[in-house]
Amino acid sequence: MNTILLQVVNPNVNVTSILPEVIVAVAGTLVMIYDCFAPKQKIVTGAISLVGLILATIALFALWSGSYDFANAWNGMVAFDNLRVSFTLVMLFVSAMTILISTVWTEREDVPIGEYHSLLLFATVGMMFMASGNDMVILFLGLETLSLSTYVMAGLRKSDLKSNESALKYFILGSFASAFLLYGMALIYGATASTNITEIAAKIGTANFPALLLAGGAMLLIGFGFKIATVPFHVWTPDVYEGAPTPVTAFMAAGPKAAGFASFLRVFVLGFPVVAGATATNYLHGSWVSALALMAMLTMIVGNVAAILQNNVKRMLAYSSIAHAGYALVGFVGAGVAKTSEARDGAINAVAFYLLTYAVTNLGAFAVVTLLGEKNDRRTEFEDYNGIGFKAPVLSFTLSLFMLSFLGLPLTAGFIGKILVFGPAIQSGEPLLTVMVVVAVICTAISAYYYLRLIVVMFFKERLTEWTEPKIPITLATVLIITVIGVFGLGLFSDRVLSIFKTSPTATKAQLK
Amino acid sequence: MTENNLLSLIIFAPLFGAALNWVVGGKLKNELFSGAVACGTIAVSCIVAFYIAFFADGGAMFADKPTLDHLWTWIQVGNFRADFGLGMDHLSAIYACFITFVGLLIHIFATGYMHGDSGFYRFFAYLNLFMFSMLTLILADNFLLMFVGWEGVGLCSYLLIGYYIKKDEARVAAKKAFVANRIGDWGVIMGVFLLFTLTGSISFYDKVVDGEKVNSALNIASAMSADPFTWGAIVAGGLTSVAVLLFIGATGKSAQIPLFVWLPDAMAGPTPVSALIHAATMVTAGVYMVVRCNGIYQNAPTAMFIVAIIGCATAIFAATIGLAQNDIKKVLAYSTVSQLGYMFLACGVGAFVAAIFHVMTHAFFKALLFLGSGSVIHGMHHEQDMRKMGNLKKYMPITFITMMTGWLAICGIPIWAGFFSKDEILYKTFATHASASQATLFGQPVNMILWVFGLITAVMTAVYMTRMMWMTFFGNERFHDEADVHAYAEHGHDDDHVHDSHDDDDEEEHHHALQHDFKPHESPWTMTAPLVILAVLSTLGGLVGIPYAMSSIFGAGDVNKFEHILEPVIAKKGEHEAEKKEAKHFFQAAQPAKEKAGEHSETKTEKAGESKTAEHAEHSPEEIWTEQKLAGLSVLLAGLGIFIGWFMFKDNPLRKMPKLLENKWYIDEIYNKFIIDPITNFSRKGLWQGFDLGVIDGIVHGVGQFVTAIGSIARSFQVGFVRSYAAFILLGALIVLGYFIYYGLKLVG
Repeated sequence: MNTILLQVVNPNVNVTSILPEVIVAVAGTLVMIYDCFAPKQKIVTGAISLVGLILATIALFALWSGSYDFANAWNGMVAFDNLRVSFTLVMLFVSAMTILISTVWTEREDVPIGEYHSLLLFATVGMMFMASGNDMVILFLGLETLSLSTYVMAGLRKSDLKSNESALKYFILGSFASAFLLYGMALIYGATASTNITEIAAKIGTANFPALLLAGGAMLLIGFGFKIATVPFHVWTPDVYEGAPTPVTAFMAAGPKAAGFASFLRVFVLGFPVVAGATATNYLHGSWVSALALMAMLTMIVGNVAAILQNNVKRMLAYSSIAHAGYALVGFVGAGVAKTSEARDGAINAVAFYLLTYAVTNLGAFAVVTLLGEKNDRRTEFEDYNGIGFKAPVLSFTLSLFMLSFLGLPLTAGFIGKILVFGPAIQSGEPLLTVMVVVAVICTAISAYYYLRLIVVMFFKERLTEWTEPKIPITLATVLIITVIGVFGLGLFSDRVLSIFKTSPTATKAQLK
Repeated sequence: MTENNLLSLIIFAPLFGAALNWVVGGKLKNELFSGAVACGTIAVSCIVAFYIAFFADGGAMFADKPTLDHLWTWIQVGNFRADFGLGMDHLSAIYACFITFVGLLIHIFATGYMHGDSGFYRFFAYLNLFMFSMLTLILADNFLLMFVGWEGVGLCSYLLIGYYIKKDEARVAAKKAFVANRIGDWGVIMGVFLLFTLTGSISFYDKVVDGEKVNSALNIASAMSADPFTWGAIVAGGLTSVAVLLFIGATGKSAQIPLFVWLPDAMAGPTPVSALIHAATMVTAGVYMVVRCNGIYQNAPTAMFIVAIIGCATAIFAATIGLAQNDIKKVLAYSTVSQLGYMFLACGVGAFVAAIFHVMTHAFFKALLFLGSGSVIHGMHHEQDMRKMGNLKKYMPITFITMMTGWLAICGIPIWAGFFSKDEILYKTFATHASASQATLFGQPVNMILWVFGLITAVMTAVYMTRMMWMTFFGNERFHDEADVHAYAEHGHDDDHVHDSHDDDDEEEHHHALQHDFKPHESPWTMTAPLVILAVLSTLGGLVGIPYAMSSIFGAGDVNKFEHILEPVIAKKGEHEAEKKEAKHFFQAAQPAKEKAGEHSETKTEKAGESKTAEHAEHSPEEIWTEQKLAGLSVLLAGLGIFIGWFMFKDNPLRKMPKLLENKWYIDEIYNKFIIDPITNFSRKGLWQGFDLGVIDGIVHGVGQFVTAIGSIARSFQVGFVRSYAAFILLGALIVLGYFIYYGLKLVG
C-alpha cells in the first residue's frame, strides 16, 4: 500500500481508503481484457474474479484493523463505519457465491462467461460504493453502476424471450425509480446546500427551505423503496426474478438488495436524525419512520400471502425475498427510532446481519434450484420437486434446511436474524412499532405454509415421471457446504460475526459523532 | 467461579462419537469399530466427569462455587441473554458421574446385546447422541440450554423407541412418547418464559461473562417472598405458576400421572435403551429439574403440594399395575414409574436430597434389573413373556445372582442401596416440615396419608418384584409349553403381550421359534460384566448416604456424605408464619402439636451451619429413635411383601391376576376415547376437511381464479404490463408524496 506517495500528489485523494473497491474494479477490468483475447475459456475469468473478491475482503480487514486516519479522505465522500464494513462483507460474500453457483448454468446455457463475470464484478463495485459512499453523488453513481450491470445480466440469456422481457422491464422501471431518487437528492441539496450525508445531518436542523426536505425525503423513499422492493414499489420483482437466469436471480435477491439497504440506511438513519427544536426535521423523521413502518407491514403481508399462491419455486422465492425485505425493514425502523448512537449502530448491524443470513440461505436455496432446473430453467415448478426427497438426499435435505432457515427455526441463521431485527423495534415501545413486530411474527407463521410445502412436496409426494439425480459439481458442492455451515454457524455463533460488524476504527467514530 | 474448559469435553466426546458412527460407521458396518467408538467416547466423558467432580481444582463436588465453562454467547438481545455455557455444581456433578458411569456400562452391555443387528452403527450413533443430549441437559448453566438437552433426549428417546422401525408396536410407541413429551415440553418452555419475566434471567448460577455480571434466576426466585398456599396461586402468574408449569414438563419426561402412559409402551425399544433412557437417566431429568429449581418450589407451597400428591399417586398406581403384568420389561417399566413417583414424593415434601439419592441408587439397581432382563431376553431368544420362562437360575447363574441383588435393593432390604434411599424418603415424608404437607385432608395430616400410601407401595413393590423373580428364575421350566400359552391366548383370554411376542417376527435376524431342544444360555461376558459391576453398586452404592440414625447404631458417627454434598444446592428457607396460616386456612384444621414440633426442629435446621457440632445438634435423640423405628417397620413390610409374593406365586406362578390391573386400569382406553379420538376427529373433520380443504384451498383457488380472470381481461385489452406496473408504482409514489407533503404544507402554511 503506497499511501505516502499517493498522499503527496493530493492529500484528499486517498486510494487506500477505497482499496477494496479498487481491487474489485481492477479484477473486473482484467476479466474483460482477458475475455477479449481468450473468449473460449471456462475457468480463468471465474478464478480471477474469485481472487479479486478474496483480495478485496483481505484489504477490507486490513483497512479496519490498521490505524489509518481517513477522516478527510476524498473530502469526506467515503465513509468508515460499521455500516460500510458489515454491508461490504455481505456483498463480497454474495458475489463470490454467485460466481460459484453460476458455473453449472454458464456451462448448460453457453453464455459469454467472461462478459458475465466482468458485469458481476462491476455490479459488485457499484454495490460497494453504495455502502461506502458518504455523499449522495457517490451513492447514486454506485447505484447506477450496479443497476446498469444487473439490467444486462438479467437479459444475458439472449435467445430466451422471458429473459429479454425481464431485462427490459427491469430497465424501464429501474430508470423510472432512479428519476425519483435523483430528484429527491436534488431537493435535499436545495434544502441543505450539501450532498454530504454528514453535513446534511449537521445542517438539517437549520435548513434553508425546510419544506423541500419533506418532498426530497419522500422522493428518496420512493427511489430506495423500489431498489429494495417494498410494497407498493415491488411490482417489478416477481416478473424480473422469474425471467432472469436463476443465478442472476439469486444475486439480485441478495446483493443489490443489501446494497439498497446500505444506502437507504445511510441516508435516512444517519442523514435525517431528530434535531431538538427543529420542526421540519422532526416532521421528516416522524413521517419517514411511520411511512416505512407501514410499508414494512404491507411488504410482509403482500410478500407472504402472494408467496402462498405460487406454483413456481423461483416465483415463490421472489415473493419470499419481498417478505424478507419487509423483515429487514423492521430492523431499519428500529434503527430509526434508536435513542443512543450505540443502539442505532446495533440496529444497523442487526439489519446487516439479517441480510447476511438471508443471503446465505437464499444463495444456498438458489444453488439447489439452479442445479435442479434444466436448460432454460424449465424445471422450477413445485411439481418438478415431487418425490425427489430420498432420490437426491443431499440436495433435498440441504434445501429443506434452507427452507427452515427462511422460516426462522431455532438453531438456524434465520432465527437469530429475526430476533435481532425485531428486538430494537419492540424495545422502542411505540405502539405502531409494536404492531409492526406483531405483524412480522404473524407473517412468519404464515410463511411456514409455503416453506414447509416445498419440504412436503419433496419428501411426501409421489413422483410419476422418471428422474435421475443430477451430479453435483465441485463448485456447487462448495457453495452448499459454505451455506450449510453458514446457516448453522450464524445460528449458533452469531456473536462472532456481530463482533466483526461492530468493528469501527476509532477515527471514524469521532467523525460520525 | 472456577473455569474449566475440559467440561465441554464431557458433552462433545459423545457427540463426536455419534457423528463418527453415523458417517464412518455407516460405511464400514463393522461392529468392532462402532462399538469401540461408542464405548470409547463415553469412557472419555466418564473419566473427565470424574476428574472434574473429584480432582480438578479441589473437585466440583466439594467446591463452594460451581465449575463453569463458557463456550460462547448464544443469544443476546436487550437484557435477554442465553449462553452456550456449561456448569458443574454438586448436583450436576453427581448426575454427570452416575450418568456417564452407568451409561458406559450399558454401552458395553449393548455391544453384546445388539450383536448381529443390521443397524448396529445406527443404534450406537443414537445412543451416543442421547448421551450428548442428556449431559447437555444436566451440565447446562441456563434454562435455555437445558431445554436444548431436554428436547435432545426427547428426540433420541423417540428414535430409539422406534429403533425396530418394521414393528408397528415400536412405531406407535415412539409416536406416543413423542406426543406425551411434547405436552410436557410446552410446560417447561412456558415456565421458563414466565421465570424470565419474573426474574429477568435464565441463568442457573451467578457468574461474570465478558465483564458482564449475570445473575442467577434461581437465587432471585429463592430470595422472593413465598407465594400463599392457595389454589389461586397456580394461575396468579407468580412463582407457583412457574413451578407448576415446570412440573408439567417433569410429568411428561419423568412419566408421572397423567402423562405416564408413554413409558411402558417405550419398552418396545431395545432393552439397553430401556435401561439407559427409560430407567436410569432420561426419566430422572424431571427430578433433576425440580431439584435444580428447589428455590422456586420452596416458595411455591401449592406446587409442592401438587408434586407430593402426584408423586405418591403415581407410585401406588403404577405399583398396582406392575402386579399384574406378564411381560418382564413391562413389570420393570411400571416399577420405574412407581419409583419415579417416590422421587417426586420426596421433592414434594421438601426432601430434595433424598430424591436425588433415590435417583442415584435407582439408576444402579434399575439399570441392573433391566440389563438382567435384557440378558434373560437374549438368553431366551427374544422371548419376553415370563409365562414362558421359569427355572432360569439353572441356565443363567450370573444373571440370576446379579438380578437377585437388584431385587433385594428394590425391595428395600438393609445394606442394599434401595433400602437407604427409599427409607429416607418415607422417613422425610413422615417427618416433613414443609408447610403444604402439614395441611390436613379428611382430618388427617396430608403427610401421614402420603406416608401410608408410600408404605403400601413398598409392600406392593416387594410383591411384584418377587413375582417377577419367581416366574423367571424359579419353578418349572415352561419354555416348551408354547402351545399351551397359545391356546391360552386363543381361547378369548385377551392378552396383548402374547401378541407382542408375535410381532417380534419382524426382526428376522433375531427371532427363532423356540425349538424343542431349546436351552436358554448364559450371555457373553460383555453383558455379564456390566451386570456384576452394577450388582456391586446396587449392593454398596447406598452406603454413601447412610442416615445418621442408622450409622449411630454402629457408633460410626455422621457418615452421610451424600447429604452434606448436596446441602449447599438446596436453598435454605425459613418457614414463614404467613404460609402456615394460609395452610391452616386452606384446609381448615391443623395439628397444633405437629406444628410445634415442626417449628422446633426448623429453628434447629436454621442454626445448623457447616460446623460439625451444629450438625450433631440436628439429630435429636427422639428423631433418631423415630427414624430407627420407621426403618425397622420398612424392613418388616419389605419382608412381608416378599413373603406374600413367595406364598402366592411359589406353587402357582401363572396365577390369574385381576383383569382390571392387567389392563392397566383401562387408562389407555380412557385416554383414547376421551382425548385422542376427539382430537383426531376434530383434526380430520374440522381442521383438515373443514379448514384446510374448505377455507385455505378455497382462498388459494379463489384468488388463483381471480388473478387468472383479471389476467385474461388484461390480455384482451392488450394492456402493456410494464405500463401498468409503472402506473402502480406511480400511484404508490403519489400516496407517499402526499403523506410527506401534508407535513410540508403544515410548515409552509
